[in-house]
Amino acid sequence: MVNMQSIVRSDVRGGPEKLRRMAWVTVGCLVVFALPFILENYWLYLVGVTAIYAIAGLGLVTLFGFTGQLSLAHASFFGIGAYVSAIGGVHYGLPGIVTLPIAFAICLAAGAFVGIFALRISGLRFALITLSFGELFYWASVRWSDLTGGEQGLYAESLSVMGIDFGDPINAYFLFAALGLLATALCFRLRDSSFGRAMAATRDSELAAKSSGVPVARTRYIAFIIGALFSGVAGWLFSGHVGAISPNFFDMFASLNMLVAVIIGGVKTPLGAWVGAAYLVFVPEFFGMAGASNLYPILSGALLVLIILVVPAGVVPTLGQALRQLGATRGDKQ
Amino acid sequence: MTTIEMPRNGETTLNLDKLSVSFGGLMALNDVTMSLKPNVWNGLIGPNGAGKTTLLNVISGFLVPTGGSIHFGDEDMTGQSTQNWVNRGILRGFQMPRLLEGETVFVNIMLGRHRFLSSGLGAQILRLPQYMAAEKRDRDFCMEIAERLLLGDVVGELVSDLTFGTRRLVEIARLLAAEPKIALFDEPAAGMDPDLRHELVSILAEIQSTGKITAVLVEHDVDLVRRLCPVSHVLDAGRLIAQGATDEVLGLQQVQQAYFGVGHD
Repeated sequence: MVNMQSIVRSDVRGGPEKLRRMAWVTVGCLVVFALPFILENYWLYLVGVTAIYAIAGLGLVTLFGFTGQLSLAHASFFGIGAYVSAIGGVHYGLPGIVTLPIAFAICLAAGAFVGIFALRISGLRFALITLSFGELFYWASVRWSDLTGGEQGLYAESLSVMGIDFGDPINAYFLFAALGLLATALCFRLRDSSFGRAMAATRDSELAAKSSGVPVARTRYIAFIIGALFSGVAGWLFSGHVGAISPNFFDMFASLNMLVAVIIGGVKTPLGAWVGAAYLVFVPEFFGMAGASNLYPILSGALLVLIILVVPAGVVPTLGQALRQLGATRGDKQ
Repeated sequence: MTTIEMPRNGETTLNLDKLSVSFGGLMALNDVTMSLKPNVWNGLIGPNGAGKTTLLNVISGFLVPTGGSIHFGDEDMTGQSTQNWVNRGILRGFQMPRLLEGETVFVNIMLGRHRFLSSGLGAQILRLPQYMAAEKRDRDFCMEIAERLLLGDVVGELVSDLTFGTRRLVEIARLLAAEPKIALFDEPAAGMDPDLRHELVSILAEIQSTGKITAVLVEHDVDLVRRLCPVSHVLDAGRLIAQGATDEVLGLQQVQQAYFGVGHD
């Protein structure tokens, strides 16, 4: 008899699988609650940045990992969220609770607009379309200096939502942890839904998708908008948290870095976005701690090559496989 | 052994009327008229390049005919999108299985259920009861199909790890999961090892014997066509040169000439 739990990746789980998952979730919650008591504020701040990049990365996992669409404009949507939050706060005195829906709406509109041009295409040509949007956004963020502060960028006040000041490191930490977990759960549910299968179909075989009645263009379009929204919300969190933003956070290299991050983490799994984000945030930090910040740009390339050679499928899938094999050998011995 | 319960096709006939497809100067299909009667299995035979796959492409929406018309019952299907063909329950398989390489066998089979999806993205993400109930039914149904198609033990495996024959079975499972009214098989038994082939043929025969779906079977193996298809259509160089009861059609001299070459007994 086939074990249903081993094949379906979502809802109808029960029995030992469910227990094991509950155990993991419990351990995860404990870690989340323990961290603020263990880590100093600066490290807590970095964990927050990691969560923000992870949320953006989850959008990229959805778009690139699940749907196979390579976007070079991901940091631009991140930038839209960040600028809306910063400009709204600095120029108009708007609180975060107001700038969030604005950032959300603008990312939705921008994603829907750029997505139109990308409707019928995929692969490198899609990447090029997104690249041109990314460049346009970068150009606008530099030139529209009355609002954006140009190359100098903007100082942004920390978020304050419903009277809670998220300039406080512990408050901020819990906000990012909560939103990060929410975004992760959302990404898992996307993957395991009918829509998730449709995304995978457009990624792996357009013929299989079409011959099963999956609307290929519409599926890719929606995935693109979802990716933009994840990134935009992450950007909205970003400016208040880091306190100052400038165009170079949102240029093509930023988009490429996000892409590299999820590839390192594992592009098809939501957890890969977290590993990738941690890579983006902590690796430069460790170079700094070792007093070798200057070496980072050079060695990061070598490090990247090393990682891709050792774990071509990404850290999370490789670890997962290793754990499963370990479990299997243990199971055999019993 | 479970029997796959297929819903009845009903009484809808697919009529092709003077269908033509030309690629530049080449007439891939030339004035083809045929009807696919409800719940009848149709052999589609002919030498390589006769236009068999082109015909399947036309009656699944992958190719728009340059002339003629197609009606499914009263409905004009000429030039309709693949999506519309799938929505009517007319679905095709491919000569080379087209699968989601990065996904498990089970996800591939579940894809077949996509045409019945009635919940929006929001309902899926929130896992509303109506969606979850449908999902549960789909899973059970797909598991049944997987078991029947000898895929029960590999449902959790990645499609890219499978042998060719098993991949073919996965595609057929996806097709059956979609509960087709008309199933189009493009050489389903080709390239399979003898054991698996034997199993596949008995599965197809079982589905055929339930008399609940219409099928078109493109196949070079004449014995297989004899076994599964009471009716056959023969294409040669884009033209329909014979159609009718399979045994009679295969006995015709011009069919033997076109298909087997002269001198075949």
